[in-house]
Amino acid sequence: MRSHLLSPLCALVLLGSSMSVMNAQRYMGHSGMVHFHSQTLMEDIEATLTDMTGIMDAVDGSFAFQVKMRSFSFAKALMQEHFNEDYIESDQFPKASFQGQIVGWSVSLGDGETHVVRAEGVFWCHGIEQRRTIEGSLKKADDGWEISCRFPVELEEHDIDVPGWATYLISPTIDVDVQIKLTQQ
Amino acid sequence: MRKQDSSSWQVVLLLTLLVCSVSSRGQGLLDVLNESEEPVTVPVSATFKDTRIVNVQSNETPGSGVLHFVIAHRFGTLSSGAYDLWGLDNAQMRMGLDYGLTDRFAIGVARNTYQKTYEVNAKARVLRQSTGPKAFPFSLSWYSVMMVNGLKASQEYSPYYFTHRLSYVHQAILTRKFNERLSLALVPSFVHRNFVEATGDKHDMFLIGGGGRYKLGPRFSINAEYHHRLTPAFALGASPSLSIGVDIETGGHVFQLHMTNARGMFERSFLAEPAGSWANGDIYFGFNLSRVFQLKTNSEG
Repeated sequence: MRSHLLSPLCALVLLGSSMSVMNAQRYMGHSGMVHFHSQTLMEDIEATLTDMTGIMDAVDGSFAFQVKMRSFSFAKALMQEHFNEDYIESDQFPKASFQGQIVGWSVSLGDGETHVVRAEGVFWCHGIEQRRTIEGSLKKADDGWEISCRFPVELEEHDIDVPGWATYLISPTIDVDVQIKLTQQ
Repeated sequence: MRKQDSSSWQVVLLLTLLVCSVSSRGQGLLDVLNESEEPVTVPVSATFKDTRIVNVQSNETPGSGVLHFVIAHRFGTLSSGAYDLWGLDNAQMRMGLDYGLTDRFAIGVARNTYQKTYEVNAKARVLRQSTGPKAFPFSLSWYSVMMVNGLKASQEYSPYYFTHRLSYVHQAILTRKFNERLSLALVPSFVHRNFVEATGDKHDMFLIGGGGRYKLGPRFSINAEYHHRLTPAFALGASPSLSIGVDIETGGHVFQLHMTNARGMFERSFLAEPAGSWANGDIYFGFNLSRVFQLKTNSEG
């Protein structure tokens, strides 16, 4: 009789505590930096945003990062308009994201050193999903995780059309730099 | 009996807990991010490709630090026939420079070969259509221009002072981008001419104009505009101005090709002067070629 009463209580306590641990192991950031660069002989195009959001679960190394395309700021106003209107089509596809899992996640990654890790997941941009493995670095600081990575994006893979006359101005491969700090929730 | 009760209670509790934990885990991290994001108000951009629809101003201004250079050509009437190559022999031009002092305020100067007219103008984006928590349904821009007729004074109109050369146009430009493709404009205009040539012509005129664009491709749109005179301004009736055209965009250029029954490319001319008749073939072919130069880059860029 007593054991019947105890077991659900135990389950409750266990589940409750495991859930609170789960949440306590969530790290988030709202001011990540993303910078991209396209270089051709004719034109350098670059843009930056500083409001990337990110979340990581330090229990299993799962994560998600997301940017709003309209946050990208260009040196030239017309480039920014063309980026949003003609290429990325921000009204239709307002966000890009990368959601996945860090490969070989273990507690030892939190030892305060910088570790080079690989992240597997789905990169979503211009409404097209691509499975990607992206290499980046990860460091546990006192108040959270510092994450950075650099990866190329092929415009063709994401159905981003560049008209013939613009192929001299826009590189088919865009280099993307990402930096974010995630703090405990 | 009692034992059964307690065990069923256990099952219910465990199931509830399981459902709770599953729903919390099943929620993707991306959803958690989306929930944590505060929605922001975003102004609607690129209602029109250029600062003009065809002849009339759109709501757009050059961005901050952008110099917008427009060379516009207007040929003679198509009805002038083969001898004038359907008007191509009689080109007239407008060269204009607009500069964006801020993202919402621009000033400009221009010179037209038609009546050797100079222009000084200013344009402000008063309200911007936007989406998000503080959404707003339309944009309102204000355009004011002073025009100076540069022709030599005719003996006919003596005395003829400098002030006689001046005319003014003020416009409220209401626009709404309905979707990716369709943008419409409603443009009430006020024209004041210090000097009118014919007795019976009015110094002040009110007009209501409408215009719009429909995008057929990412860099291609069809544009049209019409201005209706509310003030019967002329001793003799005259056609109002009607124009249709296309915008073709290539990088830093916008080409605008159009057909219009208005002779001049500045506001007084296409609003307040009698336009030709479309039915009689008094149609002018014209094109605007605009180029932007970013003189000052955005600091955050």
